[in-house]
Order: sequence, then structure tokens, then C-alpha cells
Amino acid sequence: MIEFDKFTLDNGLQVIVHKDITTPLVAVNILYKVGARNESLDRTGFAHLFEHLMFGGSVNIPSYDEPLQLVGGENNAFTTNDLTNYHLTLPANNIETAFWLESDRMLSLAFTEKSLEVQRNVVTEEFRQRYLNQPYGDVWLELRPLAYKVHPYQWATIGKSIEHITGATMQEVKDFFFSYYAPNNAIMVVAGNVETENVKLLADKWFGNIPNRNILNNVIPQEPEQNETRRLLLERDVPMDAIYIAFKMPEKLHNDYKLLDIISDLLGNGKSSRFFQKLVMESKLFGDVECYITGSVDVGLLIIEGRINEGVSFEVAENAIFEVINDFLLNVSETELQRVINKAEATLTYSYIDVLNKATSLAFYEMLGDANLINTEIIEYQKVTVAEIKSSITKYLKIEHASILQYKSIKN
Amino acid sequence: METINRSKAPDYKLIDKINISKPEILKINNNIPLFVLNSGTEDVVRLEIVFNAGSKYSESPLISSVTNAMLYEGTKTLSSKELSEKIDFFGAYVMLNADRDYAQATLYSLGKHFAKTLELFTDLINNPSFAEHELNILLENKVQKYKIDEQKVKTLSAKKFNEVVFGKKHYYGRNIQLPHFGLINSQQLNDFHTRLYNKNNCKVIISGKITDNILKELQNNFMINDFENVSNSYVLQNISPSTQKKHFVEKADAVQSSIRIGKPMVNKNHDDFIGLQILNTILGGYFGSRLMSNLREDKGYTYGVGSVVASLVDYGFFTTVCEVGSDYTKSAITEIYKEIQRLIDEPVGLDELERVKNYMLGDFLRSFDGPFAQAEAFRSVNDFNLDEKYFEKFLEIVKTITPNKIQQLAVKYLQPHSMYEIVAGKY
Repeated sequence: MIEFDKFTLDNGLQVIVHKDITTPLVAVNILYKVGARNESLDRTGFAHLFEHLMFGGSVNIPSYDEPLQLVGGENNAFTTNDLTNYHLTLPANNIETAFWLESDRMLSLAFTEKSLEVQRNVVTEEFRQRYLNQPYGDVWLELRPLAYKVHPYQWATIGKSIEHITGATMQEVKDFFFSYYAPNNAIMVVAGNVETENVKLLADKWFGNIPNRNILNNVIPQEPEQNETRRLLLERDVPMDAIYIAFKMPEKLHNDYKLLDIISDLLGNGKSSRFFQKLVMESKLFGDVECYITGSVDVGLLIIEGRINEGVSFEVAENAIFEVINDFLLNVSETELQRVINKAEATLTYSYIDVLNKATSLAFYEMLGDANLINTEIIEYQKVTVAEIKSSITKYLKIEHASILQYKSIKN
Repeated sequence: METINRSKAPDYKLIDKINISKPEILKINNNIPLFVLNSGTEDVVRLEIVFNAGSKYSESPLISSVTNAMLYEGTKTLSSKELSEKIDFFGAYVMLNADRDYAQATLYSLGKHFAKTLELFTDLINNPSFAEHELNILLENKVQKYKIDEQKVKTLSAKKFNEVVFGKKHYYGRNIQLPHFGLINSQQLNDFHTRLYNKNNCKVIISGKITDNILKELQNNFMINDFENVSNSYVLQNISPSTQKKHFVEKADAVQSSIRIGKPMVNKNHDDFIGLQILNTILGGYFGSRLMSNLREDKGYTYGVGSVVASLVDYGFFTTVCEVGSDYTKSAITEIYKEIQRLIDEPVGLDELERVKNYMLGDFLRSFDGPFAQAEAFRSVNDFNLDEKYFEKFLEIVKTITPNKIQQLAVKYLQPHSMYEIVAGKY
């Protein structure tokens, strides 16, 4: 049970405090409810570019990192399609430094041309390093637009095209900031060796006078149901063929979300999973096969990805995957369901050893509507039955809901 | 509401006291050393067994890691499938890893299931079947990963670096090559296991919420094979670095190049090592480092750049690490040398040194946060036959080192003409 206190400032900033006196540290996590799904079609990659700019100095503080390092702190951030998350840890008695730094960059950035110019380059190099200069690195750049035709999930957080980043202007950057970065669009979690009373005082002092802002509430176009199998063949200089099958799955708060999450584990998480046993160990068609979900807030994807052994065609590989799914539907057992649920429960326990993990999870659940989901979500998982699993397989894992990417090895 | 001055940083306190957790030292299974780090609130246990069985103990560099990985591929009584099903059922994880010096197996378990997971864990360590079928599948999987890695510029430069700095034939410098995979058989693995996964050749570290029951379980049911008259030694070998300083591995279609500039270096057992860690932090050891500030935050050549001083048991090494846009390769190399030279020519400023010291102290504090982190911190000294006195020495040196001393270390260890320069990708 993870206990916490919760309060909201007059300007709308939501604050959650989790006390853990076993650590000499404190973690501060600020989640802004803006991700790649909030971007417009012709200016993608902005939320992520923004994450970089948030380290380029704020209105009253020229450097974010240096003062934090001076008090023994460390920080990082990540951007997803749904949110942007900033987190730092520092010795508990220097907690006020975190409030000073985070409140100033929520108030306003410095918006220097130099920072924008450099970060455009840095993000271009990130694009090259992670997506272009790695074998199979462009899979997500191709798979997303195959699976999504309407929803902004059709582009990756890095953006559709690097020109959207290199062409970003200062005015666009400012507009983006004032449309999404605001106390009334953020959740702050403070976890560690702290008292709620003290956090309240500090939150009032540093964040209390930041004005709330009009949040740009563009309606995010939702993806219509997919009723045809989509296929794409890519030819690249990679060592072996690979296949990616993406099925649409329900949004995070849907009742069936947990069922698909469990199904993905049953099918393809680890050595005891169906795919590994049948396709790697028994039939030896694949070198490895995994199944996982994207964990998206809106309609997400359940992905099956496998490296195909030499001499096995895409057709044989694909049929074998669907055979395992059909067989699984017929004889999924109580024991294997229990195994996956036990593992999920244990994995949560391991992750809560780390105070920063707890802080990041609390912020995410609060964004979904209730931080206490951190404690209750697993209870819903424990109630799942074999019958529910079976009906979900039938409903969601249909080939007409699938987008299939064949990644073919050619030698340049 | 009071008006606040946002331009002025709040007061802060220096880290002066750090609770360095000392393990309780026991013996189990007659004479195996057991190090106990009991802390934490969650009902979790991490049990790690470390064998002196890294790749330096094997003739082919691949035997050590394959022997280690095969532990999870079935025992004399449980198939690979049964083993993974049972371990998963209890929500446990088994992590296997072998590096150049050590091979280890780590069990993560909920405390409430420890008796059952311990039984499975000791079975997989002591009685691996090394079955042909599982071995062939594991090797095929490893071959695929190998081929994928070979397409990455960072793999190409890291492998070349090892060869250049330690020598192609040295146990730290030799790399796994494709033909190695075809030469492995289960007899070799069995022999390696019999020789080294042995009770006189290991140590055990347990961390987490360690109750009396858990210790009792270990005292009563933990055992490691005791094969008699086997040799667990290796022959210490001098390194033979390349005579050529610059090395280029071409990858014509690369859009980025991977650059390593470095050299062999003293390791943790040398008196200069802690000072070198401070010097390295200034150069490339944290986000605010000189390399990051210059190559990323000023010039935008790279997504990330850093440097390390690393310790292996017999030697150490220093290297800078980065991937840069191919067009920037030459400029990036120039800037890296410029930053190294600046450490030799000028003493570090007091403000910068203050920041680096405090950052390192904060990092030190983080490295003891939580039971699993404490277990890792413990190994970072015990693997080098050091103990917690090393941590005290570390704190003392970080707090007191002067700009002069740092400059002396740069002069002594970082001369550009002593560096090896490796580029993989495109100029």
C-alpha cells in the first residue's frame, strides 16, 4: 500500500506527497499533460523538442543543471505520445532548490535563440542515433502510420520528419509553451523523506503565484475501428527478416485494457510464454518472439514482434503466429493465467523499492484521474478470469484488426 | 504572499554524513562467504552468487557467457520450460550475466516465496543439463543478436577499442567473432562449469528485507557443488596495446560515427584512481561535464557524449564515448582533444570544482539508496579486494582534492599523444 496526501493550489497545480523515511533523498516529479498526441500534423516532434528546451535556462535562472548539481542533485526527463515528464532526485535537506528551479521554468523559459538552434541540432542527432543509424531503427516510424490513419499516434515522439524540428521558429516554441506549460496542466509529486506540511509551504511559496493559463484544448481525433488487414513490406540492409504485427486495443481506462495487457504477457513475455515455447523452442521458426502493449492513454496497440530464422518465409512465419493464437484460445489454462498475474504483482513490488519510480507512477495515475490506481489497479488484474481472456482474444486479436509490417533483409 | 527573489538560489546544505551500510559477514554451506545487507520496507530479496568465472578463465571468449546463460535452459530434473514456468509462477526473476572477470546469477524473489525460489535457484546453478537442443537454440539466438550488433557503429568502435588498448590476444582485448559460435559444444560448457561453478570459487550477497527465516533457509538449504581437485586459476597476462594510434572501421552507409579516444589506465587498486574519477567527472562524467557542454550544449554535434575511467580486476581503462553526425566527425575529435588539453594546461576553476564535488557526493548518496543499490555498491569494492574503508577514502578525497592535484593527474595520465583514437562509421 502506497500512502499519499493530495492537495491543489489555487492556480490549479495538483500536488501529491508520498512520505518514505527510509531514504535520505527526495524525488520531485512534474508531469505536464502534453505529448506528441497534442501536436498538429504539420508540426510534429514539438513536445519532445520542448523537453530539450526546458533545460536551456528559464526566465530568472540561466542554467537549470548547474545549480542542481551544486546541491548534489540529478535530473532527467522523457516524452511519450501522451505526456512529458520531468524528474529529479536530490538530498532531502536541499529540497527547496528543486522547487526554485521547477517553478521558474514553469513560470517561463528564457527562450534564447542559441538554445533553440543547438537543441534543433541535438534532436537531429538523436533522430539519427536512435532511428536512422540502427538496424531496424525505423520500425516505429513506419508501423505507426500503418496502424493509425487519423489519430496523432501515427507519428513517433521524435516527429514524422526531421524538417518539422529544423524548421521550428521561436514564435511557435513560445506559443507551444504558453498553450500547454501551466500549473493547471501539471501534476507534481514529491516523494521521499519529506513532510506534507513542508511541501505545502514550499509549493505555495514557489508555485503559488504562477498564473494559470488557457490550455489549448484541441480535440484529439480518435481512430475509427479498423476492418481490413494492412500490410507494408520494407526492404533494408539488416541481417535477418523480422515481422511486426500490431493489433488495435482499447484505451487505458477501458475495462478490457487489463485483459489485453495480460494476454500480451501470456503470449510473449519471457521464456515461459506461448510464443517462445512454440515458435522458438519447438518449431524453431523464430530466433525470438515477443509480445507487448504500447500502454497508450487512447486506443493503443498490442504488438507481436519476431526475428525470423533463415529459410522461413513471411507467410509461414505469420501463419505460425496465428496458429499459436488460435490454439491459445482453445486451451488457455488457469495455471498460466495465475502465473502471469503473480508475475505482474511481484514486478510492481520490485519497482516500488525505488522512490523515483513511485513518484513517476503516482503522477501518471493522477493524470488518468486517480493516483490511488497505484494501489487498486493490481486488484482488478487479480480478478481476471479465463473466460474473459478467451472472449478478448476473439474480440481483439483478429487479422482484420491487424497492421502487419514485413521487414525484409537485403544485402546492399 | 511574500515576494520572492527568483534570481537567488535558496540556501543549501553540503552532504557531510553518509550512512555507508556495512554488510554482516557470515559463512554458509561450510565455508562460502555470505554478505548480508538487510534494509528496505518491501518484502523482496535479492540473492546474488558471484563466481570467478568470467571470460578470462576460458580459452574461447564465448564459453564463459554461454555456460552462464545455459543455467536457465534446464536442469537434470527440470526442462527449460518447466524451470521458467515455476520461477515465473512465484513472480521471481533470474538474471544471468558474465563479464571478463566474473560470472554471476542473481535471484529476485518475494520474501514470502523465498524457500521455493531458492530451491529452484540452487538447482539451476548446480545441475544444469547443457542439453544440445536448448544449446543450439540459444546459440542461434545469440548469432542473430551478434549480427545485429555488428551493424551498429558503437559496437564496432567498442570492439576495436578493446583490441587496440589491451591487444588482440589478451583476455581483456579479444572479442567474440562469428566462428566462435560454431565451435561451442556442451562438453566444453560442462567442463567449464565443473571447474569454476564451485563452492571454493564463489561469494554470495543477499540484500533486501532479510528476516531470520530467510537466513535460516539459506543456512539449511543453500549449497554449491564441491568438485574436488579442480583448478580455478588463470594466468595473469601483460597487455600489449597496438603500436598504431589511429584506427578507422569504415561503415559506408553510416549517418553517424562512433568515436572513442582512450588508453589503458590504472584501476581501483591504485592510489590515483579516486582522483582520476574526479578528473573524469569534470571531463565527461555528468550532464554538466565539459564534453557535454561543448559538443552537445554548445555545438549540437551529438545527442550525448561522455567519458569513463573503468576498473577491471587486472587493469583499467579510460575512454571518451560518443556518436556524432558523420559531417561532424573531424570537428568532434578536435574538440575532444581540446577539452583534454585544457585539463592539462589550466587548473579547474573553484566554482566548477565545487559543483563537481557536490554532484559526486549526491551521486554517492544515491548509490547507497535502497537495499539493491547497497548490494551493488558492496560489489564495487569487494570485487577488488577492498572494503568500506575505500568509501571513506573516496569521501575524504572528493572533499579535499585541489585544482592543482587534479591538474597534476591530467598531466600524468591524459597526454593526448598517449591516447588511442578509434572511429567507426564515416569521416
